[in-house]
Amino acid sequence: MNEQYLKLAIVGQVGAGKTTLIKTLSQIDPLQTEAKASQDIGKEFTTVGIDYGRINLEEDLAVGLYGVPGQSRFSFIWDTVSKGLWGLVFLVKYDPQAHYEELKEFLAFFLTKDKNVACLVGLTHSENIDQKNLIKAFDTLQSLMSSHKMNVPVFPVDPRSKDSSRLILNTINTLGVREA
Amino acid sequence: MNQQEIKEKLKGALQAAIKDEFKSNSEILMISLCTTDGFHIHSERTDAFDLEETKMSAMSSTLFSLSKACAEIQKGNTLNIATVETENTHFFFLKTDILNLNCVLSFAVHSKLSLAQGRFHAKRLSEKLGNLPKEVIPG
Repeated sequence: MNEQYLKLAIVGQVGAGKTTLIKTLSQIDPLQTEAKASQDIGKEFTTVGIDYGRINLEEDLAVGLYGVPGQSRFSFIWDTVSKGLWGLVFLVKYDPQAHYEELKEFLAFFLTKDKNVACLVGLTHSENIDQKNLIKAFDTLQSLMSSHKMNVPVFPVDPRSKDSSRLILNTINTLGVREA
Repeated sequence: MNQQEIKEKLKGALQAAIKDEFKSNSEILMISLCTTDGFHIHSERTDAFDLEETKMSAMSSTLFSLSKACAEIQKGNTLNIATVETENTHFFFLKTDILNLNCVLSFAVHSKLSLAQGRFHAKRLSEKLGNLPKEVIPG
């Protein structure tokens, strides 16, 4: 049987939940390349290489999950991972000030590679945000994506939850099929 | 000596040690020290070695962490040195802890030096850097 292999990149700022998402979704023991943070980034460890996991969507369809560090000094990894993508997930940490500068940087980088790749934005750390601020965040993110001529789904994601994480995969799968 | 003075003195000693090792052999092309999460601390290089410091630091940290993950596939295995061989250059990446700061030492030598010779220089410097706080910090 010929197994089809697809590549899904998960990008986002430090602490957005990329490593957790891969840990939640992966059916294999994920490869994690974390190092102790030498500066205060709000957590003890940070990804410095590639997080890798794998999940079978169907019996003969596997998805490789590639999480890349959020800091721009690691952009050489973005370059490698951005080749041959099936899907692209931007994880964005909720910011009450609505400064999504890093998302702009990711969009500028990844969307110049392939505008047709199935893509979505997942808003994390938003579990305890009231409805009004949540809508405001969605509006900001939607208009940011629109300014890059991208009309993509934006929804809240809890990378710790299997159901929530699985929704990402299912959405990308639907978008990918639609564009095929 | 207050904390700031100790920090400055240690930084000066680190830079001097790296410079000394760099000058000890003309086949040493580059030495770079960064934190394990990829922040540049200090580097020395020949003019011919085209190096963007922040990029080199990020790559060193990535390479080291991937090599470490690769080594740990076999239970109980720990990484000593990650080595990259090219036609002209041997690269060595070593974990080097300075006080409680986890660092990666990147060391590049011309391939005229054997792997063993290059590794010797790299390990010698790594050990020296790790021992510097004992020499620099009083008491």
